[in-house]
Amino acid sequence: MRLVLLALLCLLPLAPARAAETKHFDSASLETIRSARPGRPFALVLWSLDCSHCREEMKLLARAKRRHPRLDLVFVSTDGPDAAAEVARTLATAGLGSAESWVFGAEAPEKLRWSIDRKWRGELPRTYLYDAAHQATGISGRLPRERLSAWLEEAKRFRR
Amino acid sequence: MKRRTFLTGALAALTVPTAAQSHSHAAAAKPAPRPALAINVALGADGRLWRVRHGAEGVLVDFSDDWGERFSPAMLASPEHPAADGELAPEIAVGKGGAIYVAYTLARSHNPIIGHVRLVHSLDGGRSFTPAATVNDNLEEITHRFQSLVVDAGGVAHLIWIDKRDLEAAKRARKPYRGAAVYYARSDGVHIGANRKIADHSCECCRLALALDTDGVPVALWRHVFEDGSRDHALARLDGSSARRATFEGWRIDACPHHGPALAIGSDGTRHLAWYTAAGNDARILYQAQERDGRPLAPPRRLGGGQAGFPALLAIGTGVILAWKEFDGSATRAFVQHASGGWSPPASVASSRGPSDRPRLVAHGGRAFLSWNTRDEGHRLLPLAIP
Repeated sequence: MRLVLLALLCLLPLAPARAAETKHFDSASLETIRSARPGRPFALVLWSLDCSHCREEMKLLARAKRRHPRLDLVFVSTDGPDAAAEVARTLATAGLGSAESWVFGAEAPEKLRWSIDRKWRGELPRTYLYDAAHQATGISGRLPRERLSAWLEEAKRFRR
Repeated sequence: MKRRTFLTGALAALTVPTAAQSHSHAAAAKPAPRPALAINVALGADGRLWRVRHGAEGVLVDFSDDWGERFSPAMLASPEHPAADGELAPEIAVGKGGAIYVAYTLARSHNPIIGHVRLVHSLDGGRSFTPAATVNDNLEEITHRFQSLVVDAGGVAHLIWIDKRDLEAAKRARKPYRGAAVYYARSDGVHIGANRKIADHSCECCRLALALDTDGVPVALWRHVFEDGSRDHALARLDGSSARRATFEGWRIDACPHHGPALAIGSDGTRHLAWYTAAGNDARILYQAQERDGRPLAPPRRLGGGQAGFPALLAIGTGVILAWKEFDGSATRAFVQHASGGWSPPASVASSRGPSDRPRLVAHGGRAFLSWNTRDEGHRLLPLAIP
């Protein structure tokens, strides 16, 4: 019984059954995101509605998600709280409606960026590939396919 | 210290001129979004300070004759809601005889990158504005945005913007195309001239800088996507001269930096440039003075620390005032620094713990001010020493 529960819990953040609502991201949200995934790899994807490179990267991520349904993607839009509906619609259109979605809340954007990574100054897309120990690699610009594949291979080892 | 707040809710005295009521609404425009923080300012020859911002009713302007002690009631320049994502904001400029020009980008879809550049103008001190006219002569539902506006001494408005008509054409022809393009048009308020392409391959998401040269010809500075993929900057005089590369850090990245440059031109023709780069994984604001022909007067100089961003420049004679904002982990501070022969130390002139607009600089008749709008403190005009 305990094992079954554990297995179910492990699956929860990896494959939500349907589109979750877009939540407001504040300076404590990254901790919330991480603590919901103890010992598990995930990708944190920063993007905005007006970022054409982000939409290109979404195509790559949507393909990867189809191939690896347990791929845990967390999208954080920097558009601001009013954009939540449009953010959700854009992710759904991109085939990423089942992924966890956040949008920058009412705090200063520079403060929210600081809470994620002091070195990140707002260029988009910005992707953090977290390993099982939650060591993150930050990548600015469109995520190269090889970087994603290498991370997926490594991530798989921790999912067994 | 002067300090004036400009709260969006306090518009009881809003006047709606009859001319504005005939404005046509764009059919596909977004529903009214939350007004943005950006407030642009401009000075008339008479020293009247004009502001433009996005309010609940549309594009609003007002003015002050006493450096922000008191402002006129807000006047509606356009009932349309301007796009205000990233660095995009409505702009205002005052021309000959007090003619007021307001330019903004109108979003045409839920996807904010689709828009048209719109222009209105007023000949009666803002009491009435012409119906909004579309500046881009390509009317595809694609990117025409990030307008930048200056008015020359003859009263002609010069506009540049980011335009994806060439990218779309290349896509249709299945040809590769880097970035977007910079387009240019002039207007006397009545007619809008044919659009002219200034350059292919601009960055897609950084604001453009525009300043008048000593002979009145506008000069543009923008983030470019060079052949090797680096997003450094290019500069062009808008008299048919070809663009030249102006910055050389070699920041190669397939990303939207959302961080455009600043440009000011001194009375001696010196080009003052300030820009953001993260080349070499070292995010920084750089400043450089260049001769008319692009020859640098000194190597690029770093401004502020690792969190400095959104530079503004104002040339006064042969000196220059530089401003930027910088986050220290808990608050964002606006800094200014002077260069006139030597350099003054950077001075923090204001701070805010909440969201803020970029700092902007204005001067008239021997006085200079930093204009900064913050959510928590409102709009402030802070007097500065003149270099």
